[in-house]
Amino acid sequence: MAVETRRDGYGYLHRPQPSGLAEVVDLILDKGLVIDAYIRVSLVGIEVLTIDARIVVASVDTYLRFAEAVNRLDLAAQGTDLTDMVGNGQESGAKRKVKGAVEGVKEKLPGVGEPEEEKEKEPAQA
Amino acid sequence: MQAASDPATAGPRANGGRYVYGFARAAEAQGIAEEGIGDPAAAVEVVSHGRVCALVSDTAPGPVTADRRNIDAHSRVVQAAYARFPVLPVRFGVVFPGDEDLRSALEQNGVELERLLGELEGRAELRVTVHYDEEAVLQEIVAENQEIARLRERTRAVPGDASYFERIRLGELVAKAMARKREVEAARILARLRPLATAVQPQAELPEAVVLRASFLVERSRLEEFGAALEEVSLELDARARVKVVGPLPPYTFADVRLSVPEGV
Repeated sequence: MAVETRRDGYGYLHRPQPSGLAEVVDLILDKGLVIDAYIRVSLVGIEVLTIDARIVVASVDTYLRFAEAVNRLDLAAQGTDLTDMVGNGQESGAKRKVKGAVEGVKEKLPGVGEPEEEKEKEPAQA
Repeated sequence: MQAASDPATAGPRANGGRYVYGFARAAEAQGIAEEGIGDPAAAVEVVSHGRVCALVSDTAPGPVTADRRNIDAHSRVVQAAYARFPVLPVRFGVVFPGDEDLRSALEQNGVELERLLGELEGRAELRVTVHYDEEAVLQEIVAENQEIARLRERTRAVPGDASYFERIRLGELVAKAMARKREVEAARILARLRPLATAVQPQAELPEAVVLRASFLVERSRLEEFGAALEEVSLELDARARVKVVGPLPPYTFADVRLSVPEGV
């Protein structure tokens, strides 16, 4: 169960329940006080290990994916000017919500959150 | 008695052991009603020595399986303890052969445990993730970068193999532009939040659309202030990014230390 904070139609702060297993599983497996001599854990057959396996790797595949993604963009639908995004306050940011930003960040935890899928866009005019 | 020096993730042992969830002050710790690991679940007990104690439960012989049920039990026990008294969260999977070994570890590390308990008392871990809306950020990148816009037009006009190398070039430029954006944005967000925290630990390697993932150690008395700052950050980021915060959690990340135990026995 997650609670969304939304104000004036801008920005979203997502606050999932801290007890949610998906939110803390990497923490519990990887952080905390440890006594080496007494570690006795079996990770055999565990699906949770795939968390965050997808780190930044500069590769041709990544580049092709980005190229495809920018080519799919429908720039015509983009109304306001996009410069100075990193700036301040209410003036910055796309005025149009590009896609539902309400959902939280999806952790790559099969079975807990579904893997993020590419959303098919309307094909733009070539 | 089992050899304490055996790191022993290996095969099953003849005896079960004492699974450890956390360490606390003996004067403050109480029993925890939450069920421990295992099936059937074991009851959580307190084993004390001097001024410190451990929260433990019995566990079957052999390695502890890091399955959903056990990880969840570990999490719930630590969280329940943390809600009642200061506790140092232990990483999943620590099993002592028995109470004797546990007490000698408490004796040997009592001073360090008390120091850490003092250091983390009244503080909580908040895990913050800022995740780009990829499409929104790609829009920006195209608008801000002429070469990218030009290559985009060309590769859209020339489909398939004929534009293969140009598409790679385009993707490379986009990846670099996004990396720069992330770097600037992460630094800005960290600069904003850092003054409100006692300690920060950013994660180094991130998925490509993740701007920032960091654990903050925050005084409980400043949790609201921190939350308000996060709301401001997410308002500024608008629909281009999502900000997620998980916590307050027991400070696993900031109790990430190794304790020593007597060699061999």
